[in-house]
Amino acid sequence: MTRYVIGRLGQLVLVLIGVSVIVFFTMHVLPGDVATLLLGERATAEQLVSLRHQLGLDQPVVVQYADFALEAARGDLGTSLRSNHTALADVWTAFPVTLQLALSALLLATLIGVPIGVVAGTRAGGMLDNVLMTATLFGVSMPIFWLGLMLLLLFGAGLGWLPIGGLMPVGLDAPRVTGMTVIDSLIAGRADLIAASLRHLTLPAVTLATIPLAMIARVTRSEMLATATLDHVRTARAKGMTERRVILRHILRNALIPIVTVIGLQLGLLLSGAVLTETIFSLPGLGRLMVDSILSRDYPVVQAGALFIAGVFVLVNLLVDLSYGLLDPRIRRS
Amino acid sequence: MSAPLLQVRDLRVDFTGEAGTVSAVAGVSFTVDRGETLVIVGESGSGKSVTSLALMGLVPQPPGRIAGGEILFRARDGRTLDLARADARTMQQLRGAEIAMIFQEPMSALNPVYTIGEQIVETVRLHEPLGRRAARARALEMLEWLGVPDPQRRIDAYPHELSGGLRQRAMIAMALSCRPSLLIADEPTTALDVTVQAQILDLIRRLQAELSMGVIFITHNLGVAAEIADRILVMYAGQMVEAGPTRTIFRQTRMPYTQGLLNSVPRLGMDRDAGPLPAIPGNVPNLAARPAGCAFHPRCRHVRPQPCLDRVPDLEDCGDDHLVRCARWREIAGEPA
Repeated sequence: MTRYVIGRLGQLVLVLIGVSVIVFFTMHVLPGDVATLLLGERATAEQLVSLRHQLGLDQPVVVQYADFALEAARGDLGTSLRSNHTALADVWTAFPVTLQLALSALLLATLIGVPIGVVAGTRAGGMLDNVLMTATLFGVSMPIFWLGLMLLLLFGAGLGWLPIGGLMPVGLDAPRVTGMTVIDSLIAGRADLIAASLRHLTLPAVTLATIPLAMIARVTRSEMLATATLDHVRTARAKGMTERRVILRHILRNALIPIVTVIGLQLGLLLSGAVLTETIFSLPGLGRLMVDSILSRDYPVVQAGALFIAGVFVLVNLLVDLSYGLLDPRIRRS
Repeated sequence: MSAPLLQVRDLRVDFTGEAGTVSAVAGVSFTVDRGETLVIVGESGSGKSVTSLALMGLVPQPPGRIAGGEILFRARDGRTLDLARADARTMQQLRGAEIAMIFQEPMSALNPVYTIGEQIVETVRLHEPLGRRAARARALEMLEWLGVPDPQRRIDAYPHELSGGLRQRAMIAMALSCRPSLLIADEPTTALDVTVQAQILDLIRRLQAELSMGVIFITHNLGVAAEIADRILVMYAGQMVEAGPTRTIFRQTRMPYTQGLLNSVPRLGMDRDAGPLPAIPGNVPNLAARPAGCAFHPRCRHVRPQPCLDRVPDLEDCGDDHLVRCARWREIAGEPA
């Protein structure tokens, strides 16, 4: 078990090296030049040359990568070309925003998606099943930016029930502890802060939850159907259980592995890809940071962000794989 | 004389599919009393498993449904219930408590994610007001009673950690944990090694005597039937084709189908020069395309256009509590075998 985890963490190192190479070279293939962006259009040729030298941009790409890799191995991913913070610090500041959004979206998606899948799966072919599955088909095929905008227009701008963006109302902030506004508000213990943070989180979380919710519901449904035909379910009925107990303890319980896999995959995706949602609702999360950094050719931050996301993705998948052992005793010992 | 434990009268189970409605069980009747073993014999598709599921109220519905007949069961409280018409709640209370079932393949019939102890405890607590510890003590007692070695350790084993024989013992422990009065065993030994098979048969016989249960044992193997049956019921294409006390069925076989099944059972001391073991040619008919007349006629070596193809033969009593569905049984009985 320990050996398995160590092996997987070793793979993580390989993944990080691969990601860094790809990001480094694609960033250098992109047209556009940091020096020009930093100094503006009216910079002189000497100023540009001198800045490029200062940033090491006049070296061959391979040498630049080697420099970067050596520094990175020591934990230094460079300094943002825009903010003068270290690149990792910028990523660390943005990450809790994304984490809070992703976790709340996934919580919503799971709490609603799994029951929908169970209900549809146990009434397969029926009216309710058809309605629910059509709804989830809309869910998976809905463009997220469109849905986000519509929710924002309706509940934010139109009805005015919920704020249209940002993490917290202007001028109201909980003291930063975790960087996640809801948790920080809870720590501060002030009801007004808690309410404000939740109100700001609602629309983005609902928007981001749509696709995972639909996927979780569909996978749950099909796994319920597949598991329901197994012999041990007939045994469970032969023992005199209520149908409800059969469904929850003997069908859903055994169908959990693929459901957990989807939830885990979705978490990885949400953590790395909330770009659209963060942009629509003006949230300073990781996705926004990455887009802004790519547009301004802020190599160190892009690189740090990409490595961070890759690391999170691998770790989440490792946790999912480890959870299989908890869910199925047949996997535990091997 | 009081009513028997179980009395099935003219049971019909229909399945509706795209090709229309077929009767998987078409008019089966039998009785089983406490301490008695009825063996239902037939090939795959004969309707024997559907019959047992109908008794449990577990016919998958849709596509299946009990289309007719009565299943009269004498419950512990003295009432006689018609299981063909009982509501879901009544069936839940009977299943596992008064009527228990064991299945062919214990590996797939046990839930792989719970220990066998948890699965036995679950059955006990479904039907009896016992706490966790008392139920676990009962489970342990059951495993011990069933001859599971080292039950203290095995109770926390998962099904995949046990051998086939032990798994089937665990399955039986689960089925008997509430001391049912009727046990339905659907080919419980088919998936096991021959030596383990014999042990499990012995075990079922012993438990039946101790609990004075009625047992319905389903098999395709007449050798197994000979070992444990008081009465035998032979099914073919959803119909009873021969039924009677075990000795009568073996000594005065009337139905050519039963004869074919008997001939295809290998016996010690068989003459090796007599050639390969005879098999019944052909297959069980598709129920949607049931042959006209006697359903067995395409495979029967005694077939005559008259009367075999004309109409479905009646189930006739040929004496000594012996029923047979063959229009020519009198003539065949006179012919040399």
